Amino acid sequence: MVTLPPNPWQRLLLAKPVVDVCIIGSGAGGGPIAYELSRAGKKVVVLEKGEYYKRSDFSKDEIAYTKRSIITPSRSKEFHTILQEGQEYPTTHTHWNFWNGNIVGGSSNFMSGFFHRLHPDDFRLYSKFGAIEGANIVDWAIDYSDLAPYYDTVERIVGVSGVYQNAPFEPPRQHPHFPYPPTQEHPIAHLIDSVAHTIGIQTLVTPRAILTHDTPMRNKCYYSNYCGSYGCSSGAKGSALEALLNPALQTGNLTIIPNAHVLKLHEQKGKVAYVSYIDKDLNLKRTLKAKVFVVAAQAIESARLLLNSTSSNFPNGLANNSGQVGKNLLFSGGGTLEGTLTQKQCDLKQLMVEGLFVNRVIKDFYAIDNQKGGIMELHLEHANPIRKAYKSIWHDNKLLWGEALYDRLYRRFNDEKRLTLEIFNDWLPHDGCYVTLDTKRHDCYGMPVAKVAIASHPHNEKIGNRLALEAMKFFKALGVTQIEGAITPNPPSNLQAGGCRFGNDPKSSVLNKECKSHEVDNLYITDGSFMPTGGSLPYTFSIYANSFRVAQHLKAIL
Amino acid sequence: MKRRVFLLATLVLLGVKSFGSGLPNHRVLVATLEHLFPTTSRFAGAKALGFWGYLQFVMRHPSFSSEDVHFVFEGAKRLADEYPLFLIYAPPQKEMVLRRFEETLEGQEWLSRLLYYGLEAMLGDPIYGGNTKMQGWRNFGHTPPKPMAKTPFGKACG
Ligand SMILES: Cc1cc2nc3c(=O)[nH]c(=O)nc-3n(C[C@H](O)[C@H](O)[C@H](O)COP(=O)(O)OP(=O)(O)OC[C@H]3O[C@@H](n4cnc5c(N)ncnc54)[C@H](O)[C@@H]3O)c2cc1C
Repeated sequence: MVTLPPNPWQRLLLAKPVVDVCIIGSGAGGGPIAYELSRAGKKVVVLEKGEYYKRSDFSKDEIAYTKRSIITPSRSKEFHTILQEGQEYPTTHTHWNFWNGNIVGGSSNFMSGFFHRLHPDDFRLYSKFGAIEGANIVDWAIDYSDLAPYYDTVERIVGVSGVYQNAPFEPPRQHPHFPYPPTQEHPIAHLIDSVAHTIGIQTLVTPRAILTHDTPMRNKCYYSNYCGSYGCSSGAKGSALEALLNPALQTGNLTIIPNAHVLKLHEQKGKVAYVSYIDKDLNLKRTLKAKVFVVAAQAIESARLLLNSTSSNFPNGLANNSGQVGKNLLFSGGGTLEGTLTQKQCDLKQLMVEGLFVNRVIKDFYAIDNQKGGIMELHLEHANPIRKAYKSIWHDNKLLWGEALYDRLYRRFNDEKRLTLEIFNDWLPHDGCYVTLDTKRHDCYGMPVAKVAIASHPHNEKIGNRLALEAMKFFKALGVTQIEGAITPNPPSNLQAGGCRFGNDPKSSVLNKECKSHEVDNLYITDGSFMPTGGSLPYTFSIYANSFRVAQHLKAIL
Repeated sequence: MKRRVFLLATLVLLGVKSFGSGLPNHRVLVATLEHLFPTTSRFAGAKALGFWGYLQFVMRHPSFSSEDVHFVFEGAKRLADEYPLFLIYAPPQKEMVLRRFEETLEGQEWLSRLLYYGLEAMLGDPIYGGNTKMQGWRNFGHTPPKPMAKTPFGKACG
């Protein structure tokens, strides 16, 4: 067992369990709780199923990080069961993988760090845009003003770089300036801005969870050209590990126990008394007691953990006498369009500049045709030479090889770049998208795996396609060629939320507005599970902000 | 002789038991890779970049599925069965055979898989045994990443 860093209190910890807060999962949902509570003098333990990677352990090894499951469990041992269009199958031999990064810091280590605040209307989707047939849309239990101060906190502590621009769908900010100036821009960003302007579209600078100047513990971005899917080698990326856990370790109040796979939360007299987990280093089962338990294992695994934690008081799973645990799971609607830029559109030397970010987002269609719309994020491909090359092996339905392949690759690496336009729109909560247990299939620890029903509400595609029309106008104006991609009903497995929504009514929600279980007194969930609707943005900024909000509440009661 | 024993032992270790003639299949595999990725005056190919060493190394790792290992060798066996003289053909004949092989669904799938693993060997981190002296990256003017791998397969399994 490795505890980090070793100090006398930590060595005594397991012998004398006097833990105030036990956090399950060390990613974006768990990090802020660990940071705030350990700094407030509380004894905090984080149980994380994966390894601890130091900054220097990360590299830009495309094979390891993008082609093999080295930072996610082997799917022959730990998998999910998919329920799609009436068919049920395990992910073992499919391209589906709902694990996203299972090391200390979770998938936040591997994110690209596009960080957008939700818009005030995202907190009142029902009141603002009304009901949609077959969708379980509700307003949030809090509004934008409740979360806004914590967005500010995240910008400061996790580190968000950007610049405020006045635009119709920009949420209000208390401080106009971001704590970090925007990342350096790729020359192509100016072309994008000017073309957008000619067709009446406003492009905005994308805020990023990336440091643009050094801090005492982290270095600024060095524009490696390998960002999303890779751990950061300068500490610039605002992962939970770099921004929150490493500083929290310095208090001496935080113990991170890596390779600790939590099996179950054990309830006694209406409270969680202890958790049981597998110490993967020694292959031992251990238990840990605490006053408060915070679950942040990412939405699907958090729901699964509760469902697996049955007791006589909770025969259907912990905190699930309402039957709501696992319901209304959210992903993100939309899809991706990609096109090629060459010297026909811009100066080749400028186009081939490496590493710098495009960092542009279009928010003009956040509301469209009196309905909730979404955003379009623009980015250039990262270096990833294997991916780039493999996408070039086909020509007219035949394979390229030999000299013909080399010529093609030479041009691909030297004369062109792919521009991606990613559309994000709301993934509406509905009865066809949920987590339950697959009691027939078990993981390598003998626990039932999560069965994930992944149906998309038809409205998601309708809005996605509407946005894609606008995206195509923009791509045409820009003159990109070889456009590929589609709006898809398939969920992006890395963007998970919902499943344990918060609300004021214990019959229709799992958590109260402080993200405490309605039914179990010392149980909190602080990953994206609490979200009743997710907005048309990647979630992590909001997960961080909400977790800081809950931490404030926990500090007050502990 | 030593080499033959080593190769056969490797295959057994991989759980790849039934390749019929075993060694010829490996040679067919290597010959196919060398045809798909020839070394030319401008580009270093399969032989120069150590593709076979790469494949042997990565196939031994648990992250490489045994089904994939089986698929790669099965394809070579099929090619060897259908074209027993493949190994002695000159490049134009090999080209004809492989183009014909590509016309079947399985043949196309196998060739595209070899192209994929070939590109991994050519453009992956040299720590895996391919991309010798980073010549694969140099082929296309690709800037080596910073930092490069210190251990294969990251920390978790490295
Ligand atoms: C390639 C990629 C790019 C992304 N880009 C963006 C982006 O640009 N913007 C954005 O907003 N978001 C992005 N994301 C998503 C972002 O990473 C997640 O939204 C965020 O990390 C979710 O936080 P979380 O706490 O729910 O889960 P995580 O951060 O994944 O943390 C959950 C942790 O719980 C652990 N765990 C699970 N089960 C157990 C168990 N039983 N016992 C112990 N520990 C357990 C896991 O190992 C993991 O470490 C990206 C993700 C990926 C993979």
